[in-house]
Amino acid sequence: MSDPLEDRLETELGGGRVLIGVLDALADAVTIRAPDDRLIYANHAALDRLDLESVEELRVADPRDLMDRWITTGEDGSPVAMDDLPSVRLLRGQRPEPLTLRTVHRTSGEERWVVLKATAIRDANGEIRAAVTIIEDVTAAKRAALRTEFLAEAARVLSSSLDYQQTLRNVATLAVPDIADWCAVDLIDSDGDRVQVAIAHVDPSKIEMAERLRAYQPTQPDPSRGLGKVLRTGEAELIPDIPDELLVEGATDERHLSLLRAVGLRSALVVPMKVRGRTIGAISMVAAESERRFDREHVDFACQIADRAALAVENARLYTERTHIAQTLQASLLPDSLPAIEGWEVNALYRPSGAETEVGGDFYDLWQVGEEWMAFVGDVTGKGVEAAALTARVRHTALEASEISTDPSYVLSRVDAALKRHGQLAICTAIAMRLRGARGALAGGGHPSLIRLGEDGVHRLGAHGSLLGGLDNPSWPQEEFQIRPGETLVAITDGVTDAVGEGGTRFGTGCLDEVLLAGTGDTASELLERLVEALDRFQVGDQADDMAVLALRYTGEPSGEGAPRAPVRRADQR
Amino acid sequence: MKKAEFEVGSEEVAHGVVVLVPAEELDLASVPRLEAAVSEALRSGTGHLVLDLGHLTFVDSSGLRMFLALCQRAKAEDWQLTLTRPAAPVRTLFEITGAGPSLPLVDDWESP
Repeated sequence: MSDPLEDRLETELGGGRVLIGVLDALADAVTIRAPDDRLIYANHAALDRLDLESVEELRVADPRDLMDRWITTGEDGSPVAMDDLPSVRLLRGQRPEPLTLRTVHRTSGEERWVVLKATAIRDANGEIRAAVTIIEDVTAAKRAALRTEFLAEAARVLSSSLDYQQTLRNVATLAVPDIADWCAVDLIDSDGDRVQVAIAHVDPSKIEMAERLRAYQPTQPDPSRGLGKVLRTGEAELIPDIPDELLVEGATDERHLSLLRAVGLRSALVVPMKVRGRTIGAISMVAAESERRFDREHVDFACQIADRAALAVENARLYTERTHIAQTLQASLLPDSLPAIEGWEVNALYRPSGAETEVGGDFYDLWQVGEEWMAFVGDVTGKGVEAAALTARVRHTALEASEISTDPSYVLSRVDAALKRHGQLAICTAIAMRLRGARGALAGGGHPSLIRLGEDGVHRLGAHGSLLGGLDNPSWPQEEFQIRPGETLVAITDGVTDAVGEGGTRFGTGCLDEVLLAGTGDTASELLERLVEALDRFQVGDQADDMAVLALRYTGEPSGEGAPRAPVRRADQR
Repeated sequence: MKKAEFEVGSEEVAHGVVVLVPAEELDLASVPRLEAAVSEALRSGTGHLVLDLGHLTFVDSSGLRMFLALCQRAKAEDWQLTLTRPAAPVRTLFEITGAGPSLPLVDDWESP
C-alpha cells in the first residue's frame, strides 16, 4: 500500500532526506521520541537547544541524563520530571495538553521558556510508533508578561508605605525570588558614604550570612568596580559569571573568601537608583542557588525597577522630612514650657490631628504683663503652613496688643483687625483672659466658653463674642469674674468636643462635663490626664481636628513649686 | 465609623434659582465637595443660590469659613445667596461664633 504523496516525494525529492531538510530549516525545535523514551531525532534548532553536535550523539544519550542538564520547572515553579513531558505521556497512551516549561541550563545558567506540543506518529494499524515534539521558544513573550505583572506588583508594593525604612525593605524584598536570590539596597549621603542598607534573601536563614558579607564592604566602596563604580558613574554593572578567581581577587582575607564561597555567588547585577539624574543609591542583585545567570535583558528590567524604587525611596524621605518640619513648626507655635504663676497651678494639653505632615491651627499661650497674667487659647481655621503662619501672626498680635491694654476685649479686637488685613478670608476663634490674683476678666471670640470647675460644678463663663477675622460689626463683651481657691479654669478648643467616637457620635459638652466633674479637686495635671484617658477611650479612628486645652487651678497660696512645668504635649499622638 | 458619604442634593426650583442641600457633616474634608457643587451651579448661570442647611448634622469652622467666603463672593460677583433652615448644630455654631447676623439667613425659605 502506498501513499501517492509519499511516492511523489520519494521519486521527485529523495524521500526522508527532504523532510529532514525541511525540519532543519525550521526555527522551532523539533524532536522525535521513540516508544522506549529515547530521542531518535532532533532538527538543527533542537540540537542547538540540547547542546549536541549531531543526531548520532542524541541517539546514544540517556534521555534522563539529557534532561538533567537543565533545571526544569512548570509555570508555577514546581519541578517537572521526564514522565510529565507531553511526548512521553503520549507514548504512554495519554492525551497530553501543550506544556509550558522554564528551563535553566545547569552549566551556562541560561534561562528559557518553552511550550512543548506533542503529536503521535502511528503505523498502518494505528499503533504509536513515535512522538514528535515541537518546542516553541516563548522566552521573550513570557518574560514580557512576567515583567508587566512584576512591575504592577512593584508599583503596588512601593506605593504602600511612606515610611522610609519600610520602603527600603520593600525595595529589597521586591526582587526576591522572582529576579534574584538575594538583593541589597544601598543609599549614599551627600559625602558618598553608604548610609542605609536593606537586605532580602530567598532563604531567610541566609540573611545573616549576607549581612556578614555586607559588613566587609567599606563605607566608601571601591569606586573602580562593583557597587562603588555604579554609585560613581550611575551606570549599571553586570557580572554575568562570577568565577572563583573573582572571589579570590575581591576577598579581603581568608574568612571573607570562605564566606564568599559559601554564599555560592553565581551572577551579579548592580543597578543605580536615580532621581532626576542624581544617583541616590544602588540595588545589588545576586543569583546563587537558583543557578540563573543575569544577562543584558535583566539589566534593562532591573534598571526599570530601580527607577521606580528610587522615586519611592525619595518620596518616603521627603515625607519623613516634611513630617519633621511640621512637628518642628508646630512646636515653635506653642510655648516650650508654661511659666509658674504665683497662686496658680497650670498645665496644657495639645494633640495634633491625624495627618503628620500638617501643622494644626490650635494654640495656647500664657504670658506676663506687669502684675497681670494673660492667657490665650485659639483655633485658626485651616491646616498646614498657611495656618501656621496665621497662628504666628495671631500669637504675636495678642502679645503686642497686651502691652497696650490687658483688656481681653481689646486684645481680641487687635487680632480681628490683623486677620482682616490678611489678603484672604482668614478666621480664628479665641478666648482671651487676664488674671490678677483671684480676679479675672475674659472675652471670647466665637470660641467654646471658658469653664470654671469647682465644688458647685461646671460653669461656663462669659458671653460669646464675634468670631475673629470674618464678621462685620463685631463685638467682644468683656466679663469680670472671681475665683476661689481649689477652683480650676479650663479653656478648650472645639477639637475636644468634636472628637468622634463609635457610630459617629461626638464627645460633646456632655462627656466633657462628666469628665471634669469627676475631676473636681484634681490638680491641673491630673485633670488633663483624666481628660486624655477619656478621649482615648472615646475616640475611634484618626483624630480629625487638633485639640488644645489649658487648665489653670487657683491655689491662692504662694507657689512652692516654682519650677516651670512642661505641658502635657502629646506630639506622639496620631 | 465617621461619615461614609457627604452628599449634596441639587435642584433648580425656579428659573435661575438653584437649591443645594448638603447632608451629614460639613468639615475640612467635605468643604471642597460643597464648593465644587456651588461652582457647578454658578457655572450654569444661576443668579440665586440657596443653601438648605436642614440636613447637616455637623459643621466645623471650615464650613463656617466657607459660608462667609461665599457671602464675599456673592457680593463681588453680584449674585444672591440665601442660607436657610439651619439644623440645630448649625444654629448653635452661628450663635457661638456670632456669625448669624453677618449671613443672609432666612429661617424658612420658600421657592417663589
